[in-house]
Amino acid sequence: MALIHAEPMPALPPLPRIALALLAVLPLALAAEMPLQLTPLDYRERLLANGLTVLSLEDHRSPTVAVQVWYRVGAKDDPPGRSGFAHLFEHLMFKRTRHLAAEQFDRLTEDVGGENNAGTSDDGTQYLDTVPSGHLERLLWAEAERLQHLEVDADSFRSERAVVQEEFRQTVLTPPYGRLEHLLQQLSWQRHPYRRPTIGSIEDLDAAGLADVRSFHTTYYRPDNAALVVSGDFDPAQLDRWVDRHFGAIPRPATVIPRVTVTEPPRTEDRRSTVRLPQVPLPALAISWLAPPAGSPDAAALRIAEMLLSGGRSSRLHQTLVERQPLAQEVSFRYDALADGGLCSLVAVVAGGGSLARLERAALAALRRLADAPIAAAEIDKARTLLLTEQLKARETVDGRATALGEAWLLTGRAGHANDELPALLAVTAADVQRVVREVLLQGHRTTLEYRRAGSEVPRKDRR
Amino acid sequence: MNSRPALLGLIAALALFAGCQRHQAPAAIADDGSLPPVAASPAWAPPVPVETTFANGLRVIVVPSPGRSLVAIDWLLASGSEIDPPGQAGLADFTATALTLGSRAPGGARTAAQLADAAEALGGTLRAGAGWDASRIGITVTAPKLAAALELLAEVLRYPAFAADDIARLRVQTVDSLRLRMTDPADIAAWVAARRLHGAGAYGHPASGTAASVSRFTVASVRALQARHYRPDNSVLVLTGDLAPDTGIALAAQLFGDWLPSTPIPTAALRPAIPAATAEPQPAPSSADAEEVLVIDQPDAGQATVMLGTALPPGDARARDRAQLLTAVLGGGYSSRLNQEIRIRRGLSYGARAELDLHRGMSALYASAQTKNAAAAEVLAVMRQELLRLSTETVPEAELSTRKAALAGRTLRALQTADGLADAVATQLAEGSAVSGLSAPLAGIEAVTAMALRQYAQQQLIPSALRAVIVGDARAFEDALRRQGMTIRTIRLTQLDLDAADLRSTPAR
Repeated sequence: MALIHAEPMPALPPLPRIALALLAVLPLALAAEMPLQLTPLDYRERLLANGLTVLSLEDHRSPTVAVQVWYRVGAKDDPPGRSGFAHLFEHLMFKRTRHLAAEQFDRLTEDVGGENNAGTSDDGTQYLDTVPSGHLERLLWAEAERLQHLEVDADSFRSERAVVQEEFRQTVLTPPYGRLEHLLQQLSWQRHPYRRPTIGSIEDLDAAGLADVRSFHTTYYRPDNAALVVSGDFDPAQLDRWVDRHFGAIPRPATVIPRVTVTEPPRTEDRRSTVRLPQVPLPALAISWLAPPAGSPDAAALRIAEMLLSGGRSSRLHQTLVERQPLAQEVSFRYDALADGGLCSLVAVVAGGGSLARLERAALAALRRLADAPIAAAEIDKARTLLLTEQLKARETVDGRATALGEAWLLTGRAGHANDELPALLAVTAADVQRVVREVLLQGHRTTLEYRRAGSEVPRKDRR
Repeated sequence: MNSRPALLGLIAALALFAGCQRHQAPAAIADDGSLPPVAASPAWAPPVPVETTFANGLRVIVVPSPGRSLVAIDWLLASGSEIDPPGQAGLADFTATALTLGSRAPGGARTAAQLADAAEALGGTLRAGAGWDASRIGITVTAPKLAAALELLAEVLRYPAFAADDIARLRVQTVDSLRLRMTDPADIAAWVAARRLHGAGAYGHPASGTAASVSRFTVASVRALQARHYRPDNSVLVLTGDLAPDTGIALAAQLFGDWLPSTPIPTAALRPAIPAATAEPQPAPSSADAEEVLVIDQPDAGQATVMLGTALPPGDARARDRAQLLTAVLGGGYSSRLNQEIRIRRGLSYGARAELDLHRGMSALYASAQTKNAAAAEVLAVMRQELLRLSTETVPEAELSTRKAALAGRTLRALQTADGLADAVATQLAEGSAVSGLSAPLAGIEAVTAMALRQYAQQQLIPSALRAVIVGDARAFEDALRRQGMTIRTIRLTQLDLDAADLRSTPAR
C-alpha cells in the first residue's frame, strides 16, 4: 500500500547484505556462468558538530533523489501506558510545523511527482521521501523544519489518532490471522519493551495527549539521535553546503537521550498459550525463540537457516508440511534481527481438516533434521543465491539503497554493515548453520501459541 | 493483475519537471520559513522496447536496462480469467499455477519439488497466475542466470505434466486458501462488487475461483484450457532488465523457435469472449437499484469494507486516459479526494482509494475503504458525494496538474526496476495496446483538460448506475443507512454464493 504513508513496519526486512567495502568488486562464481560483479554501496559519511550523521550515495541513473531521516526512537521507547505512541507520533510528523501547513509534505513530494512514506519499528522511526532531483534542497529544508519545529494542534491530533485506531482495526482486528503476530510479540518477550505491540492498543492511544507529543519530540527528535540519508542524483559539494545550511545550525540539546537498558533474560522454560477467537478459519500455530541481535556474528548463519527452512516453495518447511504431507496450509519461518536482541518465529496455518499437534511435531522434526542430517552444498548455495537476488532487488532503486544504509545505521550503529553482510553470508558453512540451529532453536526454550476458533472443542488427538 | 497503473513516460515528465520550476518562484533562503527554490531536474527516458515476432507467431519483447544486475522473464498469454468456462470460475488462474507443478520434457521429467528447487537455485521463484485479460508465468533472476531461467520457463510452458495427484493437491490447497479469504471483508467486498457490476458477464466471477468451482476442476479441464490457449501464436515473451536485445532474442529463438501450435485454431477465434462481454447488456440501471446497498453481514467483522463502483464501457485510448486521470483525482495517491475526505479530514479510515479495473471488455471503477463498522454508512455517503462531484464540478487546474504529476512520478519510478518494466509491458499487452514505447500513453493523460474530464464524468458516472456494497457487522450500520434513505438488501455471509449471479446460495442444492 504505497499510497498510504505512515505505515508501521511490523518487522524490519532482512538486514542489508552486499559485497565487502574493502573489495572493489566481489565475483560470485556460484555456477559455470559468467560471475556477477557486485559493487558495494560507495557511500560517504559525515558527522556534523551537532551529532547528526549524514550518509550520502551518489548515483545519476535516474533524475531522482531519496531523502530519508532515520531516528533512533521506536516502539521500544513508547512512554509507560502509551504503547503505540512512537508510531502515532510518526503520523503526527506530517502535521503542522512552524513554517509548513499540515500535509504540506505531500505538496512537496506527491504533487511534484515524488512520494513520501514513513515507518515505525521496534528500534526506530524513519521518514522516506523521493523527489525529482531538482527538489533536493527543498526536501532537506523541510526535514530540518519538522525535526525542529513540530506544532501539532488538537484537531489534527484527534483525527490522526482516529486514523491510527483504524489502522489497528485494519491490520490487527480484521484479517483472519491479524491477531496472531500481535499476540506472539507480547508473549515472546518477558521484560524487554519489545513485548509491547508496535501499533499499541486502542486504550493506550486514547490515553495519549498533546503534552505527550511535545515531550516526545523534545526528547528524541534531535540531530544527535538521527541519520540523514541522501541517495541518487545530486552534486556532493552542493549537498554538503545545503546540509550545513539547513541542518548545521540545529542545536544539540544538553540533555542525555534516554535509552532502553533492559536486557531480556534468557528463557528458563517452554511456555504455551492458547487463544480462542471468532473469525479463525483454520487453527494456526506460532512458536518463537530468542535469538542473537542484528550485527551478531551468528546473524549470517541464522539468515541462511531462515532461507533453508522457509525461502520459497523448495524450502524444507514448505516441502515437508505443505507439499509432501498436507499438514499446513501455509508455513513460514523468520529471523528478526533487532538492535537489542533477535527473535526467530515459526508460524503455520493448519491444512483443512488437519491437526495442530501433528503439524507442530512435524515442524519441530524438520528443525531437528536441519541440525542433525548433512546439508548438501547445493542447498546452501541455493540459500545464498536467493538472498543475493533478494538484496539486489531491494537495492534497484535510489530509495532502496538509502534504506539499506539507514537500516544498517539504525540496527548496528554502523552504515558500513550494509556492505558487510554478503561476504558474511558467503562464508557461512553447513556446520555454522547446524550449530546455530542447535543453539538457538533446539536448545532454546519455545514460546508456543495455539490460535483457535472460539467455540471449537480441542480435538481429542490434540490434547496433551 | 487487478491494478493497472497508468503508463506514463517521457513527455509529461519533462513538461512536469520543467513546469514545477515555472510555477514556483524561487524564494530567498533564510530563517524566515520560506521554502528553498526548486531547480530543473534532468530528463529521463524509459528504456525502449525492442520487438520481434518468430515464424511460429511468438512475439518477443526485450526492454534493456543495463547495469542493474537483474533480469525479469515473463511469458504472457493474452487471455486470462475472462475465459474461465461457465461454472469453472478460477480455471485460468489454476491452470497457470498447475503448469509449474511438473514437466515431462523429452530430456526427462521433473516433479513440482524439483521444478521449485531448480527455480530457487537460480535465485528466483516461478510465479504463475491469471488475472483479467492476461495469464503470466515468470521468474526474476540475476543476469548470469538468464539462459538457465529461460530454459526452465520453456520447460514448464511446453511440457507440462498435469499429473493427477499434483492437480488434486493444488485443488485442496486452493480451496483452503479461498475459505480463508472468505473471512476477510476486503476480499469479499471486491468479489461481491464485481458481481454487482458485471453480473454473469466475463468479468463478474472471482478470478481466483470459489471453493465450489475449484473443487470441480480436473486434469481434463486444465488440459483443455491449456491446449486451446497456451500457444506461441497467442503469447508474448517479455525480457526486461540487464540484458542486450540480441542476446535475449537469440536465447528465445533457441528455446521457443521450434514450438508449434498444438491445434490449428486461427488466433482470432481464441478470444470470442471479449467482444461478447463487451456487448453484454448491463442490468437496466434503475434508481431503485442505485439506492439499494447490498450488505454482506459478517457479525464478527473487526471492520467494515465499503465499496462503491460503476461499470465503464470499453473505450478508445482517449477514454482510457480520461478514466485513468479521473481515478487519480478521485482516489489515486495519498492526497486524492477520497483520502482527503475520509482519512485526513474525518479520521475514518487508514486509507481510502479508487481503483480502475481496465479490461478489454467492460471495465469498472471502484472506490473503497475499510472503516470501523459504525462509520460504514458515513463513509459510503462521502464516497458517493465525491464520485458525483466529478461530474457536477470542474476539477480546478491546480489540483489536476498535481494529480497528473503524481501519476507520472509513480509510473516513472516503477520503471526503475526490471520487474517494474515487465509489469508495464504486461499492462499494455493486457489492455490490448500496442507496445510502441513505455512513454506512449503518457502524452494522452497529460493532454486531458479539466473540461474533458468533467464531460467524461458526466457521461460515465450516472447516479443510477452506481452500486454499493458493505461487508461488515450489519447491526452497526443498517440504521444509519436507512436514515440516509437507502434501502438495504442483506445477505448473511454464510449464505453468500459468489458463483450465483444474484449472490445467494440456493438452499438444498
